[in-house]
Amino acid sequence: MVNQKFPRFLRLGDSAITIQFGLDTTRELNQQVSAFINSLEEEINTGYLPQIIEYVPAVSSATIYFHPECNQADLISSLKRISTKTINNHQLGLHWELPICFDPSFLNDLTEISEQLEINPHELQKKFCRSILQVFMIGFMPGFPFMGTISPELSIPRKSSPRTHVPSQSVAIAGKMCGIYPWDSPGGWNLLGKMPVPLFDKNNHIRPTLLRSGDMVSWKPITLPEFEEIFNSQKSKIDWAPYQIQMQ
Amino acid sequence: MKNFVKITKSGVGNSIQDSGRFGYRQYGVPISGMADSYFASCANALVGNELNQPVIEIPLAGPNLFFECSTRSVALVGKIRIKQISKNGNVTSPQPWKAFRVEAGDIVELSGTNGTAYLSIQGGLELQAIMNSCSTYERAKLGGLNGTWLNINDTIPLRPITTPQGLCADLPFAHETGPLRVIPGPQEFLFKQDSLYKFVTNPYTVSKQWDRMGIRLDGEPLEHLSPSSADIASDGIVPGTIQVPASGAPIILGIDSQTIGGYPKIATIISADISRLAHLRTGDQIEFKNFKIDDAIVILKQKKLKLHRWIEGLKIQNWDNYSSHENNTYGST
Repeated sequence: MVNQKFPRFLRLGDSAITIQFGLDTTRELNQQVSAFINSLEEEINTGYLPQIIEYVPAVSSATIYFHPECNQADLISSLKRISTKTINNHQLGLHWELPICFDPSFLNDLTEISEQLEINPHELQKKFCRSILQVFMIGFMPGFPFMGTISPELSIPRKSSPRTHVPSQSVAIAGKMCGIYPWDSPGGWNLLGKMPVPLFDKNNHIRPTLLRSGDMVSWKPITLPEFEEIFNSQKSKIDWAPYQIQMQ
Repeated sequence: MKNFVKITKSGVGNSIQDSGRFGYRQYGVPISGMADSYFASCANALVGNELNQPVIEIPLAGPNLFFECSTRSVALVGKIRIKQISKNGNVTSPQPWKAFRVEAGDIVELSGTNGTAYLSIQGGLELQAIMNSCSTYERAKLGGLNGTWLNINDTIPLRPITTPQGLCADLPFAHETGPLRVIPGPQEFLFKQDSLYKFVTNPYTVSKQWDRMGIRLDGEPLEHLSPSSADIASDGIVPGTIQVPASGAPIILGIDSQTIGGYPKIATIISADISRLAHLRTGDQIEFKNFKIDDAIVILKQKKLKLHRWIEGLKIQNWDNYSSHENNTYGST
């Protein structure tokens, strides 16, 4: 794998292509993906590349979906041009300060994580809340953010046996990554606590997810009553604005 | 007059689907939609609806339906048996692939299916699109009636129509048979050479685990180059992508599958063959065959033309075998 040149174009059937910018899980590589997507969006927004249906940024790659009957050679040469010229077109995403509640009444793995990492649970919470994470991609389920990278001293592998039921809004870590479950679902990540703001708004057709690839996330610890107040107020109307902060 | 159809007995896994929810994969929302867009288009064509209108998808067993609506046509497509009970107790057995007429008070009872079947109602279902689509995606409660599978007592409003009319086909629309055609990749280079050969020479069997999210296959396991190649940085997938986790058993990703995946993908089924996946059931044997992109596009164009010709060949349904009370505007030939 040493001689591989990036970006690398990988065919995903007859109607999609994955452009791989590297193999690692790093902020730098993910910013390269964001830069490419920004340039691609600029061209699409000015009416170019109508054969593209949509695109999905991932950790170190982007997948482009297109109408299979288009002139694919033309499309690929356009994508090659965009992928090589856009290294510096990285625009900052939004910066969020998300509340997190570690109340012991929530299903969590705080004790197990503390034991494995040999750190006391309060120190674990404090350290986690000091981390500023970058949203690498949205996937697994609608609105689920893959955020990284977690500081190596908090890095812990996935649970050996996944849970069949992880409650929605759970904040979880695995390896270098942190995620938040938008829905009840099975899951193998280690649970820390819960975040009360909904991650998905099906009535928002412009931006249906709280977080987007390229956004930054910091944390604010809250108490159980504060959690419940936010959770209940968001039930009647989803409002993400209060959690966005201005980046310096 | 109120137009609706009510489910009086649930089937299994029935859902409302249209041509899919595009533009939201970057937010983690799968495209969903008709698992077999060709059959679903046929069902719509038989009742004169636009081809991408929402239909009821029936993968296992159909529901019983009570119609409270102006007289109109209904069509089923697929391998399914139909029993129609009129308000005055007459029992008839309409055939799939031919539109039949329903009147207010009629009950339609549907059997189990062999493969996926579709039901379309003239005028179409009156539904609110969520993110540009009426397709049901159960996990995020999107589309359909309340984002869920169809259930007993669900009442689906129908659009008004002017003239009841329907069409019938001489022959069902037929998919290709033979191996499923695949484009190698995107990660075929993470597999051992003899596994790439095995993949296109050995048959696989559909396991008990299949649904709209994916189909797990049984068969000779495929080997990655090294244990570490079984886990990759997650990247985009498309319905029809075949991913292979460490166990070596391939999984064909379905139309409701997640938008990104972290297992190596050995190959991707060509667009023209995706709809065939809708009819695979436990125990079915399948084979894969490598294909070139240019050839896949030719096949896709041919298949679209074939559907177009099938629709052009439909004949106006003769309603003479129905009692002609209420109004006589149907059956204009």
